[in-house]
Amino acid sequence: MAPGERRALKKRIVLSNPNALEIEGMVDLSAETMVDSRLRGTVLGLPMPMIDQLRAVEAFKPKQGWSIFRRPGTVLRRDTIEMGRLVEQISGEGDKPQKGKVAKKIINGMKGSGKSVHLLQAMAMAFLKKWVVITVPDARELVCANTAYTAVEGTKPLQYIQPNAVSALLKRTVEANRELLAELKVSQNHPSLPMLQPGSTLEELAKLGFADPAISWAVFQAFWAELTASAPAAGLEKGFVPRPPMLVTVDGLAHWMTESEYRDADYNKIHAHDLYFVKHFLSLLKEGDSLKNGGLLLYATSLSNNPNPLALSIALDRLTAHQAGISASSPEYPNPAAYSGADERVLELLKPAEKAISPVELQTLEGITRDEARGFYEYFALSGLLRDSITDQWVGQRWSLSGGGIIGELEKLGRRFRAASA
Amino acid sequence: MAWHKPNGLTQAMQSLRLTSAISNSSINASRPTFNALRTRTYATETEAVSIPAAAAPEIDFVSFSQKPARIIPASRAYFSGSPRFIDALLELEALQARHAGLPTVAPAEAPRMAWFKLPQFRDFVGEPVPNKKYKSLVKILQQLNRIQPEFLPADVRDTLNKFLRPGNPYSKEIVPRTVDESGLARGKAKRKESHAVVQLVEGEGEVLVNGKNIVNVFSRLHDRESALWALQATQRLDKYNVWIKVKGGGVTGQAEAITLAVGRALLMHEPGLKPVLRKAGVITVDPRRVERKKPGHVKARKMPTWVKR
Amino acid sequence: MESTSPSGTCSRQASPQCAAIGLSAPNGSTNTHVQQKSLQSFFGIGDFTSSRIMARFNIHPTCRVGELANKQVLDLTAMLSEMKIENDLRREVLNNIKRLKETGTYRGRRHALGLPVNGQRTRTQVSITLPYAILLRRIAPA
Repeated sequence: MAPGERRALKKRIVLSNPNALEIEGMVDLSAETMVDSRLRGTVLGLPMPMIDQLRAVEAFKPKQGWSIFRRPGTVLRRDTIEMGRLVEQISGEGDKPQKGKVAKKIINGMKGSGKSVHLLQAMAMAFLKKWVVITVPDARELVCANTAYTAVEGTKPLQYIQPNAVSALLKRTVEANRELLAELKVSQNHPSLPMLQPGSTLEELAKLGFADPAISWAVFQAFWAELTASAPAAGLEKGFVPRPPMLVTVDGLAHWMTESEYRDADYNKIHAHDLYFVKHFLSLLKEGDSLKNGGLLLYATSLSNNPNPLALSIALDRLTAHQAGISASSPEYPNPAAYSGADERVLELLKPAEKAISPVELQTLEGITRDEARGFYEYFALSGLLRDSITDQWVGQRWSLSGGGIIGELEKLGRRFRAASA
Repeated sequence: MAWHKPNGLTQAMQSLRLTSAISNSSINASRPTFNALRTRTYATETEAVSIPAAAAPEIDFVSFSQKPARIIPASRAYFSGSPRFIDALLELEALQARHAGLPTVAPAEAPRMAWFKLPQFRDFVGEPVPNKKYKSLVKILQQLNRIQPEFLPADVRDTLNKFLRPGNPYSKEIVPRTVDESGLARGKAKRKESHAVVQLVEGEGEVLVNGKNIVNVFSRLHDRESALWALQATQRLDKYNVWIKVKGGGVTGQAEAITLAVGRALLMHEPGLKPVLRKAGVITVDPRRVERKKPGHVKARKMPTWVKR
Repeated sequence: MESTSPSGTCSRQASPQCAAIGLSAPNGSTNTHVQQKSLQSFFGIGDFTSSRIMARFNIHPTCRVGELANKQVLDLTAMLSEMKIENDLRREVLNNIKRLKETGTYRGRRHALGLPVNGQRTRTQVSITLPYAILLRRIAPA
C-alpha cells in the first residue's frame, strides 16, 4: 500500500450509488423549497452544481451514508425549515427581513441526531443565498498538534499561529466561494501586506495566503477585515460592493474547550484558547455584532472522539438554564462543584449574557417526528433499498427502536432491513 | 423378638407341656399323682414299686388357643425396613385395583392436590423413603385423584386426604396483578445478574432506560430489539410508553431482563395476549445463572490439565 | 568541542553540520519524522529529551524534516551542539566505568566481569545480563 493510501481510503467520500434507483421528480433544495413547510419530511436533493462547493468546505463526512443513494439529499425536518427561515431573514428576504442580523448557535444533540448534516444544510442554504461560507470541518485538527505552530512574540500569555492550518482554511474558502470572492474588490488598507496589488479581488488576496503559509495569518486577518467591512476605506471606494452575510461553522467544538496537544517552550500544554486561529473563531461568539454584515454562526458539538471537557458541559447546562429563564443567582443554576477544576476560561467565554443583542443560543437537535421518519423511509423505498410496504405501524416500530427518531439510527435500521429483505 | 431363638422349638414344646399340666392340675387338684409327681426323686436305681402314671389327656388342637410361640408383626412388610411406606403403597394399589373401573377425567381437569413433599412424607412415615419410590407413590395418588369427583368412593377420598400437606396451598386463589388506577402496569424480572423494573403506560412509543435514551444504553440494535421484543412481536410498540429501571449484569442480561419485565407488564394491560407472548418467548423465565467456581477446578467444571508427574 | 574529536570521522557527531546531516537521517529523505527518526537517532536523545527539544522550538510532534524552517534547523543544530550526546556521552560513560574499575569498587568488578552491577539476581534469569553486553557495544565509541 502506497504511503497515504490507507488514510485516503478512510477519508474517501462516496456520494453516489449507481445501483440505487433514480427518483422521479425529486425536488432539489432551493431558495423556495428550503422554507416550504409543505415539503416537511421529504428528502430534498442537493443541487448538483453545489456538490463541488460542499466538498470543498468538507461538508460531507465519511460515515454519513451518502453512498447508499443515487445522489445526495437531506431530509427537510423542522429544524431545517426554521434555519431556512432564519437564513432568509438575515438575507433580507421573507416575511420579517432583518438584514445584518447575527445569529449565534451552538448545536448540541445525541450521537446520530444530525448535527453535522444540520451544518451541511446550513452551508447549502448559504450557498444558495450567495453567502460567504467559512468552515472548520474538524475542530480537532487544530488542537491535535498535527500542523505547524509558531509563537507570536510579545503576547501574554504567549499566543500561537498555525500558518498551515490558516492557509488550508483560506484554500477551502476560496475554492468554495470562488465566484463570489472574484467579484469582491479589496476596499481596505492593509499595510502588513505590501505585496498586495491595489484593486485586486478577495480571491487574489486569499491566494497570497496559501502561496506562502508564513504570511497566511496576516492574509486571513486582511481577508476577514474585508469580509466584515461595511464601508470602503478612503480612496478605495471604486467598485465597492456591499459584503454578503457570512456563514461560519465549526464541527467538534469540545476540542476547543480544553488544553491542546501543543506544548510551549517549557513543555506545558498550550490552552486551545491561546491559539490565534481558535481564538478568532471563538471570539465571534462573544457579545456584539461579530459579523458586521450579518450572518450565522453554527458551532456544533460532536460525540465521536469527544474530549468531553467538564467546563463545556457546565457551560451548555448554563445556556439551557438561561434559556429556561433560570437566573444566575438561582440555586438551580448549574455551577461547577468545588475542586472540580472546571476551566474558568471556557465558563467565562460561554457565559450567558444577561441582555445581549445577539446572544449565543443552544439548539438541541432531537429525533425527527414520525411523519418525517415516514418521508425518510419512503425515500429509501423509492431508491429501491426497502421492499417492505411502509405503514404507520412499520415506521412507528422503527421510530421507537431508533430511540425516538434519531436519524442516524433510522438510517442504520433502513440499511439493515435492506440487507434482510434482499 | 427376644424370644425368637434357635431353641425356640424346644422352648415352645416345654411351655406347651407346662400349660397343659397346669390346666390339668387346676381341674384335678386332689389327684394323688400330684404329690408323687412333685416329690419325684432323682435316684438312679429304678423304683421297684411304681404307681402307673395317669396318661395326659389328648391335646385338642382344634380348640388350641393360647399365647403364640413368638410375636407376629402386625404388618406383613415388617421386615422390609420401610413397612409403613410399603403398607401405604399396598393400600393404594389395592384401592387402585378395586376402583379400576371407575370413570376418570383428564389430568388437567383433576382437582389440584398438594401432596406431601418428600421431607414431609418422610416425617409422616418416619422412614427414609427414597425420592424415586415416593414418586411412584405420588403417581398412584395422581391416578386415584383422576377418578371423576362424583364417583369418588369415600374410602379413596379419605386415603387421599391422608397424603395432603397440612394447610392447602391451592385454596388461595392467585389474583392476577392489574394495572393501577393511573393506568400504569409494573413488571419486574431478572436475567443473569440483571434486575429490571418496567413501568408501562399507554402512550406513543417512547422508551426511557434509567432516564436515558434507549440508543445510549443499548448501542447494539439487537439488544434494543430484544428489550422491546414483547411490544414488537405484538405490534404494540407505538401504543405504550415504557419507563425502565435496570441494574446489574451486562448489556445482554439487562436487555433480556427488560424483555421479560415488559412482557409481564404488557400482560397486565392485555391478558389476552398471553398465547402470543408465550409463543414469542418473552414470558418464559430463563432461570440459568452462572455456575459457581469450585475449589480444585479452573472454572466451574474445568479441571487443571493433567500432568503425569 | 567536536572539532577536537580524536576520532576524526564526523558521521554522527554533534557538530552543527553533522547535526544537520543527522536531521535528515537515516536515508536523507525530507519526509522523516523529526522526533522519531532524526533526533532520536542520536545517542543520548530519547523520547523524553526529544519531545522537550521539539517543544522548545515550537516544532509539532508529527513534523517532518522537510517542513522545518531554516531558523528551526539552526536552532536545533545549535542546541544539539551544546548537548552532550554521541561520542562525548559515550566517552563519559566509559570513563565512569573506568573510574569504578580503577578504584576497585564492587561495581567496577562487576563491570569487568560483565555481570549485573546494580545488585540484580544472578542465580536465575541470567538472560537479563545479556543486554549488558549489547549496551557495552553501543557505548563503545564509534
